[in-house]
This record gives sequence, C-alpha cells and structure tokens, in this order.
Amino acid sequence: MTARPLRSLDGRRILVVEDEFLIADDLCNGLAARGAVVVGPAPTVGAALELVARTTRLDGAVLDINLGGEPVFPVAEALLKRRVPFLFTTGYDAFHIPPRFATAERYMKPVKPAVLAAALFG
Amino acid sequence: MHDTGATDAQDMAARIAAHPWATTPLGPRADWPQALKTLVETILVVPFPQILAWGPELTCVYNDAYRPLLGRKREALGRPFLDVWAEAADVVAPALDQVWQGHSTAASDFPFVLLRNGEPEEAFFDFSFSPVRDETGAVAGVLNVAVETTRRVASDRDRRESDMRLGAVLEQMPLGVALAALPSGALLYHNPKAVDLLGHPMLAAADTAGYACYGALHDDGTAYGPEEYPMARAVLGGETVDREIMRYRRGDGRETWFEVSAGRVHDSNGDPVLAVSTFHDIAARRAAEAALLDRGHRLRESERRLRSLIEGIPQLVWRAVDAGNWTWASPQWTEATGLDEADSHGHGWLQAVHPDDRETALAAWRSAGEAGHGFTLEARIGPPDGRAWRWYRTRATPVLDEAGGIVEWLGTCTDIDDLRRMQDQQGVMVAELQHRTRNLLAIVQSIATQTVGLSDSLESFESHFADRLAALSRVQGLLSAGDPETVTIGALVRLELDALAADLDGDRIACGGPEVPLRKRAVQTLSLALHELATNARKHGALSGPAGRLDVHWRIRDDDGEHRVVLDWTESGAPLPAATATSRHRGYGRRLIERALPYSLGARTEFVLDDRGLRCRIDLPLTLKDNREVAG
Repeated sequence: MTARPLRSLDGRRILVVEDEFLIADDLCNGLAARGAVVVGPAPTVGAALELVARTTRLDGAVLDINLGGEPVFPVAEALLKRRVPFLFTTGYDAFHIPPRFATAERYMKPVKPAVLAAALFG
Repeated sequence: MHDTGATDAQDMAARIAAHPWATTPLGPRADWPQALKTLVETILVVPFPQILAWGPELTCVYNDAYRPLLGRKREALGRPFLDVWAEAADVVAPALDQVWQGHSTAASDFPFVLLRNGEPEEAFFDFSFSPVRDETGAVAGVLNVAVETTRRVASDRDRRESDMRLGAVLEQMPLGVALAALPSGALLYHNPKAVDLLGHPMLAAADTAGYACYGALHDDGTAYGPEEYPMARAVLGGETVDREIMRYRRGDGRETWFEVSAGRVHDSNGDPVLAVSTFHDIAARRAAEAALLDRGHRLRESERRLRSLIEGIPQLVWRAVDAGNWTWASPQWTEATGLDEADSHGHGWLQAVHPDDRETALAAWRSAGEAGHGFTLEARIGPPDGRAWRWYRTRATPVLDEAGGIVEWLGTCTDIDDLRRMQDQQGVMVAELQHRTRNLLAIVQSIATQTVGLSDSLESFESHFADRLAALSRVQGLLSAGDPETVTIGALVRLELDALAADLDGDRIACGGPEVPLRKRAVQTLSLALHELATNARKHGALSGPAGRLDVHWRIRDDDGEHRVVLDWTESGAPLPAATATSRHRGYGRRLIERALPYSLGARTEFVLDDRGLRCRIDLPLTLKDNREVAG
C-alpha cells in the first residue's frame, strides 16, 4: 500500500528538528523513503544544536519553529553559520520570525516530504 | 378835567366836593335834593364799587372803589352814564330801561378790563342796577353796584382747566383708575383703561358693600368680600395699599391678574376728599415670570441631569480650547489618573498619558487644530507614576457656534484596556487553535500512514484507524475544556479505561494516583500510548478473557535527587500473552511507549511482556510551569 517513492534526496543528509514524535516520525520516514539520510530527529533546541555540532556533513534541515514553547532560531543561526540550507515548518499563521531569517521558506504543517525536497534542493 | 392815571387813589369825597356841579345837570351841590345828597354820602362810605346815575341825564357820581372800573376813561364825574359807558350801551341800555320802570337787574361775572396796578388786567364783577327814588317816591336815578368776583371766576376757571387736564390724564392713562367718594366709598369714576382691564364698565356701588359685584378672587377661587378690596380698605380704614396682586375674573369671563394700589386723596388742609385705586394687568408679566422660573427649573434640572450623567458614566470627560489646552476634567479623570482637575489644565493632562503615546496625542491635536474636525486615538492613560497604564480610546469633538467657529473641544476617554487584552488573548487563542488543528491533522496523517503500514486489509485498516481516531477525538474534549494544564494523568487514564470498561466488571480494573497535571504537549502522545495499552489489554491482554485484571497506578518519586512521576500499567492473570498471536498493531503501542514518550516527553519507559503478563512503566519528569509542577 505504499507508493513508489521518488529518490530525489538520494544520499542527502537532512537534519529534522520537530518536537511532536508522530510528526517527526512521519517526516523521517518520508525523507528516508526518498533516499535521504535523516540526522535526528531532535525534539529540543539543545538536542538539535548538539547534532549540528557533531555532524560533519549536513546538506539541509527542516526546523519546526516552535519546539514546545522554545523558538528554534538558535539552531537556524548555527545552520546559517555553516551555510546549511533550511526551511521552517509551523502550525502558526504568524509566528514572529526574526528579520535575519525572513528569507527562509516557511511551510504549514503537515508538510509533504516531496515539497520539502523541492524546496531545499530545487 | 384831565384824565387821571389809574394808580393814584383818589379821594372821591374831595373830588366830589371840588367838582363844579353847577356846570352839570345836577346843579350846584347845595341845591341837590336830599335824597341825592344822602345817596352820595352813602356810596362814599360803602367799600364796594358804586356809581350813581341821577336824573334823566343819568349824571354820574361814583366812589373810590368804582374808580378802577373806569380805567383810562375820561373823568366820569358829572358826565352822563351812557356817555361814560358808551361802548357798553347795548348791554346797559335795556337794564336801565328796566330800572326806570322800577326793577332791579343784576348780572354776574361780567368781564372788565381794569387798569389796576398800572397794567390792564382782566377782572370780573357781579353788578346790579337798582332804582333810587327821590322824595316823591318816583325813580330818580340808577344805582350801579359792582362786586368783584375776579378771584372766584379765576379760581373757577383754574379749577375747570385743572379738571380738564386731570380728566385728559385719566382718560388717556395706561393705568386703570377708579375713584370713590368719601366716606361712603360710592364709586365715582373709572377711566377707559380701567373699563378695558376689568372687561366691564363701572358698576353701580353706593357704598363699599356694592363692591361685591366686582370679580376679584382669592387663590382658592372664592370671591373677595367687598371689604377686602383695596379701595374699600382705603375708604373704610384709610389704608394705603401698595401693589397687591389680585386675581380677577373679567366681564368676559377670562381670568387675569392685576397689581392694585389704593389710598385716600387729601386736600391742602389734609382732609381726605377721595379714595383712588389704580391697577394694571400683570398676567403677561406673571406668565413671563412663570416661564422664566420654569426655564430656570428646567435648566437646573437639565444641569443636574448632565452632571449626573457626567458623574455616572464610566467615560472620562474633559473640555479643552485651542490645540489641547484643557479647561476642565471630570471626576472620573481624577479617579483614573490621580491628577487633580486643576493640575490637568493646559497641557497638564499629558502627565497622565504614557510617555510613548504623548507625541501621538499632540500630533492628533495639531492636525485637528488645523483641519477643525474631531479625532479619535488610542493611548495609554493612568497615574503618572506609570504603574497602572490602561488603554483608552479618546474621542474629541469641536463645539461650534452659529457661525461655525470652534468655541471649545469636548472629549471622552473610554477604557478599552480589557477589550484590547481580550483581543490580544483572542489573537493568541486563534493562533493556538490553528496551530493545534494543524498539529492534529499532522498527527492524524501520521497515524493513518502508520496504520496503513500495519494493516493487511482495508477492514483491518478501517477498524484500527477508526479506533485511534476515536481516542484522539476523546482527548480533544479534555484539551479544549479550558486551560490545558488542568488535564491530569488521572483524567487521561480514566478516559481510556472508561472507554474500555463499558462492558467489563468494575472490579477487574483498578486505577489511582495523585492529581498530577500534564504539560499540554504531553497530553496527546500519552493518551495515544495509553489508548494502545488499553486496546491491547482488551484484545490480547488481561481483559481479553474472563480472568485477567488490570491495575494502573502512579506515584510521585522523589529520590536520587530527581522529582518524577511514575506510572505502572500492570496486566495479570491473563492467558499467556507471549503465546497468543500478536498483531503488528500491538507493536504500534509498544513503539509509542518505547520511542514517542521518551522523545516527546523526556520519559523513561520499560515495556515487559512475559508469561506473568504485561508490565509497562512510564516515568515522567516533573517540572515547574507557572509555579506548578507538571509532568512531561
């Protein structure tokens, strides 16, 4: 009953930061099904920053803006420094995003892995 | 004889003695008849003007008093009467004829022009012509006696003139005048104005009792007794009544109000001669006074209402001139800001405006001042110490005069702080709801995907999916009821067990533990995990057969320097679960417990499935949120 996936993310190492397990799980499965190597998922800023520090090679990241009340922007900052492309996912209409990340794309949950793939890697 | 000047008082006796009577028809004095001599003696001593005309020639002899009547005439002594009085011949001749026939005639108030004090003056005399007789008894002459009535005539004339003038005054006076005689009080006169005011002519009243016919009324509508009328009081008691108010029913039935005065009139000796009453209609004045009073009342009433309104309404009210110079602030302003009314004048009110909003307020005044129309703005207002700012919506309106010029500004400030907070909260809530909904949809999507993966048929999918959706739906009910942090572990456990135990005996399931609130984000995941445990217990575990039992207990653990809540799910006395067929769906629950709970909630879990039964331990951290300990 599973669809035949496009393997558009073949080998890409993608960080997933999402605090809701079922959503994170779904996203990871979706990315893995398209050939990505999932880094994480991490439910908190702390866990995510640790992964960012430890992982030598990162090709992209999906960041849930609101991690149980904690904004994810420190992680975005770290990724920005490493020039790792990322996008935001959120359930909120108008979460205030700091101006420096204003150019990053924002997707409403639930988000499709195919959409993410296209957004991160064109 | 020369003409005498009128001024010298001639002694006629001397002149008569000296006159050459022989040249007159009377002849020498010595030869006069006795009667003539006597008469001449007599007229010389009587002080009234007299002239004797004796004989057919009517020769004149007169006395000192008569002298002035002759004025500048030529000496009349010894001359014929009709000669002396030639100019009056028409008047005199018939009288003389009467006298020759023996009759006296008289005339009164006959006008003369006299030369008395060197000046001609008008004088009046009553005079008589009487026959005088000689010894034989025959009429021998005429005696003309004059009595001066000038004074009386003049005073009569003066009085007539004065009466006429008075009459004219009374006739034309705009005041009603009534006159009554004393001492009776009989009504003598009403002037035209009085008749007009009364609405009827003067009524016949021979005395004060007759006044009863008049229409004066007391306040209670009863008629005046006749002695109550001001005129009566003046007549009877000599009272002077000064401007009394009298209600009066006029001749035409209309009621009106008079202001009446009355009193006695005295002559120069101080004796009362008349009573007079004057009056005028004050109905119009009373109506005007009443209207003014009424307007005064209504104005005061209106002011009272306005004041009550201003003091009663919750809005802060103020008045200003120019561009924001306050002239007055209502009590509510002082209550809301702590600023005295006087301290708020001019630009003093700015102290009570939040520093960040002051420029907004001043800018609004500037543009309003230029454009001449009102404005609305929202700003924070409160005591200047800055500890209690509240949002207010201020509206200012110009007050215009008839020419359209701005007289002043009127403003109100309405407290919208609660509204703004609620709107902010509402905004937050709406955002939260959207987030929660999207989250929920994402979770449903995840459950669907997972369930599809675990199901080997559409029926299997449908039943498992429906079941999980139902559990999710149940927990939404707990979440949406108010503050999410009030969902407790106990509530979740009972929710799932109740769904289970509908068709089981009450004593096969036991649960209990302290009230521990759950963090919002922990609720859904924990409920799904509990749901899986419960479903598995029913389908495959302790509740699948008649003998098993389920115990769910939780407690707070406070050792090893950690503060946590531990939940134990213990199934026992069931057919050996290890031996029974496990579906892949059972693994879903295990996965939730072993992976989701640690991931999302920071839980430590143990899942043991052996021949004693199923034991699952969920160990959750307790952290502080808003000074409360919450799990997850």
